[in-house]
Amino acid sequence: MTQAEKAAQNMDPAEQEKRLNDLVQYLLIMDQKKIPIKKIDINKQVLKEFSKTFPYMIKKAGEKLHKVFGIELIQLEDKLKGTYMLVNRIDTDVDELEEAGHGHILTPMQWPEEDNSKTGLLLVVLSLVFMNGEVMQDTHLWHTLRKLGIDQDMPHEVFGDTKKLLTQEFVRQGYLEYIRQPNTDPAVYDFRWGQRAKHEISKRTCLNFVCQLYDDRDPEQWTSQYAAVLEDEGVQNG
Amino acid sequence: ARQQADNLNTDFVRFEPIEFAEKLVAFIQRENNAPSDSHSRISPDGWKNLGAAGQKLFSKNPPFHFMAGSFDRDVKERPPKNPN
Amino acid sequence: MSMKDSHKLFLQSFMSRGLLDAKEVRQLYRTCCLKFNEKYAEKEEDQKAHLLEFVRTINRNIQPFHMEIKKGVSEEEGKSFYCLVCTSDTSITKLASDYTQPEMEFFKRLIESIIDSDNGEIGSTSAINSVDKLEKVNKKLSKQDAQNLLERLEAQKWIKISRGRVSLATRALLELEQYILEVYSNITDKCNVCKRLCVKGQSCDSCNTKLHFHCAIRFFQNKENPRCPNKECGVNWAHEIPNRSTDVEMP
Ligand SMILES: [Zn+2]
Ligand SMILES: [Zn+2]
Repeated sequence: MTQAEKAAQNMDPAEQEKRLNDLVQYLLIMDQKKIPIKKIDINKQVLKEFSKTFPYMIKKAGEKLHKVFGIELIQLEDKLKGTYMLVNRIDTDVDELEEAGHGHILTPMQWPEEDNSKTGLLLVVLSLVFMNGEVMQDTHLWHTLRKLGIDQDMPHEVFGDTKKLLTQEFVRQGYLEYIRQPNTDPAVYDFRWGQRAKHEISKRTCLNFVCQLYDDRDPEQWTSQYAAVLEDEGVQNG
Repeated sequence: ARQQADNLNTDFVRFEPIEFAEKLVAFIQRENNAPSDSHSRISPDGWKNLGAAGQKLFSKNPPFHFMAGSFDRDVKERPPKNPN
Repeated sequence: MSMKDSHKLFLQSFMSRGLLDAKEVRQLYRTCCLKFNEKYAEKEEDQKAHLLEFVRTINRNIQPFHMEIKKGVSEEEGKSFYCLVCTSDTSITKLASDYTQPEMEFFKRLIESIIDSDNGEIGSTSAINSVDKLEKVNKKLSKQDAQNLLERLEAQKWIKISRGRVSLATRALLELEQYILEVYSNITDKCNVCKRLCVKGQSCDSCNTKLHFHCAIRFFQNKENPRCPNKECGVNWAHEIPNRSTDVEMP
């Protein structure tokens, strides 16, 4: 038995159940901003004097989220170690029902307009980074975005401060990584996929999206990108 | 010589970000039935529609939004409502 | 009963949409069952019971997390709506981050003025001007902030703005019913028929008994001389009874 399990066993069962349910509620509320949730805050806000039970409770909370909401609780790694995020594991796409002529289909998901626009930009940036070899230097990215009407030094009519959106908001949410290349002066920065992006969108989905833009080009024609897709899927299956 | 090699190998396509940007703008203009114009940029509606269609590519969890319980209750004594 | 994928998708749809009307709920139920090849009631008479049980299953499963799919009726058109609400008020629910502290103070004052008004609505200009009177805020809001906030509150279905008048939308009434009844106990009324919070409706000239429009329609149906439903009062009901067909009742 682990330390956490022992600590949990010493808790009053009703108290344990209450804290566990509070933890699930806490995780759902903290997901509003899509910023990874810190272990330290979970202990401070929910578990408090029972923080020794953390590993046990977080595991149980993950099981409940899965069983009731179809949500996966993901433990992040590397620089984001000690933080958690929620990812949807229910297939919400009902396009095929609409196409099959079932009539009166209600699209389950509806996102705020602002969220839609940001997702559009995010999809474009993730595609560029992936297609460019999973890393893209920031000057290179901004040069490309200028072709879409986005300038890092000018407020954009939809995104406002786009530089802030890409290098701060998307980074905090875990969609992008913005890293200074070692030993560069003046500093040179690279964009990469963040851990949330890796969990929310597959490389294959991203490549398929790009192919759609190129008049439905065969994905295998992008040799190195396609190899990355296969490698990604190999790791996931094994 | 390198360019020649690229041309010979028809299976190998190189990714050009600028080309991607042009394809994207053309795609969005097509989708939105907008007249294709020479200066390439994406309109606010273009971004919105691209994102709306792109949402399903992400396994994003819908956040739970609520109002009750999110602000302090400041119960204060108030005179009863004027009955007019 | 545990949650099947259809229940989970249904619940997630409520998380993403917040508020659905009765027709959308029926369509959603059908969509979720079709999506995962689960059985659903095709015939309308069976569907009501099935859908009721479907929602009950979800509510039983989410109740431990202080969540509930709640039913309510819109005060203006008497239409049935369903909304996913939070049922607790704790240090954890205070961590919700959709609105900043001054924004929530603004909304609280807005609720107060609406409840305090005679018709359950206030002018949008006076709503915006009220930012100057906000107390206890950690950051001042400008009039432009207030204007943007009203638009956001409307987009998220908390308020309704029509012809320059601001009122509380069904989502706010459903979710904040308890809050409003408790905090504004001396200036709020419950409908004499359905016993739920009534902001917009008709009230008796003599005893102030209040009725929702849709409750008045039901209550005075086929009554030749409408009288105040308060037994100790019983004076003539001096309002025209609205003539509208109400939405089909759902569970
Ligand atoms: Zn009523
Ligand atoms: Zn009366």
